[in-house]
Amino acid sequence: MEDGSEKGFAALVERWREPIQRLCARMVGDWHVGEDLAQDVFTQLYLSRSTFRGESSLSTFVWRIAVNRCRNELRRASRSVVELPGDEAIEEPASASAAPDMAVVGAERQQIVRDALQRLPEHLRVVVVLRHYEDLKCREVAEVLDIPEGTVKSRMAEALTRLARMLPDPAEPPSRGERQSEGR
Amino acid sequence: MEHPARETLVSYLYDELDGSASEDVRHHIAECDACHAEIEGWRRVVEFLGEDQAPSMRSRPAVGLWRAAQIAAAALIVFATGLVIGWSSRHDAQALNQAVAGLREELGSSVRNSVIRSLEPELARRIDARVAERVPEVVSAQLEGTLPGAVDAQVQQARSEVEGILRDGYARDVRRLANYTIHAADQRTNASLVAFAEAFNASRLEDRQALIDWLRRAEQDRADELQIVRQDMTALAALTGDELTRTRQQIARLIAYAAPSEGAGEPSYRSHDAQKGQ
Repeated sequence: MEDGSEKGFAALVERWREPIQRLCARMVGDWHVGEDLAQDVFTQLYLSRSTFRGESSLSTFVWRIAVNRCRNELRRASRSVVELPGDEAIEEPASASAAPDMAVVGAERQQIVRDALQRLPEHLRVVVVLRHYEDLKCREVAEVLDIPEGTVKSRMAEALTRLARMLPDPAEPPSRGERQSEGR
Repeated sequence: MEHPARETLVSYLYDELDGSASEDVRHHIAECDACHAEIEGWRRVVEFLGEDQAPSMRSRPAVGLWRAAQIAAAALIVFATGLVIGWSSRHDAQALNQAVAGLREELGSSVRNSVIRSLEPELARRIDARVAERVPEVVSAQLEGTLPGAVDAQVQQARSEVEGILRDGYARDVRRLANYTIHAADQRTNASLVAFAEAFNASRLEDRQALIDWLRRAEQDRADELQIVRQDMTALAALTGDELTRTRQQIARLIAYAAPSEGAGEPSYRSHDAQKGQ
């Protein structure tokens, strides 16, 4: 892409199409809207290819444009995220107890995860999507979002804690003896 | 070991700590119920998150083909049902032909749509490439003709807006400064008037006291002078009395001196005194 050639841009699209579509889809909660957003991202990438100076890595540049496009879309669509209440009023998680059929249980759990992710505030969701689903290191997430690495980690901790409240109750935790063996 | 920071726990969870730090956190978690509960909750979340697998991102064509397959299957069922119905009801080939035509039309439509959908990405890529190739030239050629005038107009408009803003701001500043100056001048004037009034009162009191002192001194001087005059008058009276006494005695002596030569050709003062006395 640096040389602005169509061949290079085509290679970039081929390399980044699926990750960007995944990111956009998870950010807005709709796979088809995610595809449309990804096309916008590549259009914007093509138009702004001359502004890429190599000060950051190409991947950071691409992720950043995609994240900004998703933010604009969320703002435009006024998709207000339902904030979790405080610790004193934790919302009841969806029950996973009444689904004996494993396939149904799997689909339900998948839907529960997607719903929970959409209920996170945008600034927490983007950290989860980049770190967990796109497997960026916290340092790389920090570069994409242009925030300190410590902030990325604290947001990730907050996001995981909120998700833990939203998701169904876990099985009984292991005993101290099991933990001791795990610790060793 | 103190509780590790939550940021550290996140790094531990995603295996971003180096060996020794990771080992320290592992030991701590094994001993600390709170940190263990937190990290276990997070692990459960990570496990849940892993269950949300993204569908293949070439999903639209795939979805289209799947949809076409669904339609085709439905059409086959309809077709088979039609055959059964047709045979069972001994209707002629007309119903069968209609069913086949409908099926053919529906299958053709779905296949055509599927092909269009599958071609969409390549078509879009070619259109993008064509646009990228041609649009900059056309746009730049058009802009070269209209851009200077448009830029000048924009600059002129921006300048007038800025001037207006500056003018308003300047007038507002001047008014504010004038108000401030007047207020400050009023304050200084009031302070000066108060100081003048105080000084005037002080001066008036001082003058009054000085006048009173002067009057007292004048009265004292007058009293002193009266005393002196009285003494002088007393002295004068005394002197006058003495002089009268001496004069009278002198006259008496003169009379006494004139008496023996009375009738002897000496001037007589007695008759004169007698005449004066008469």
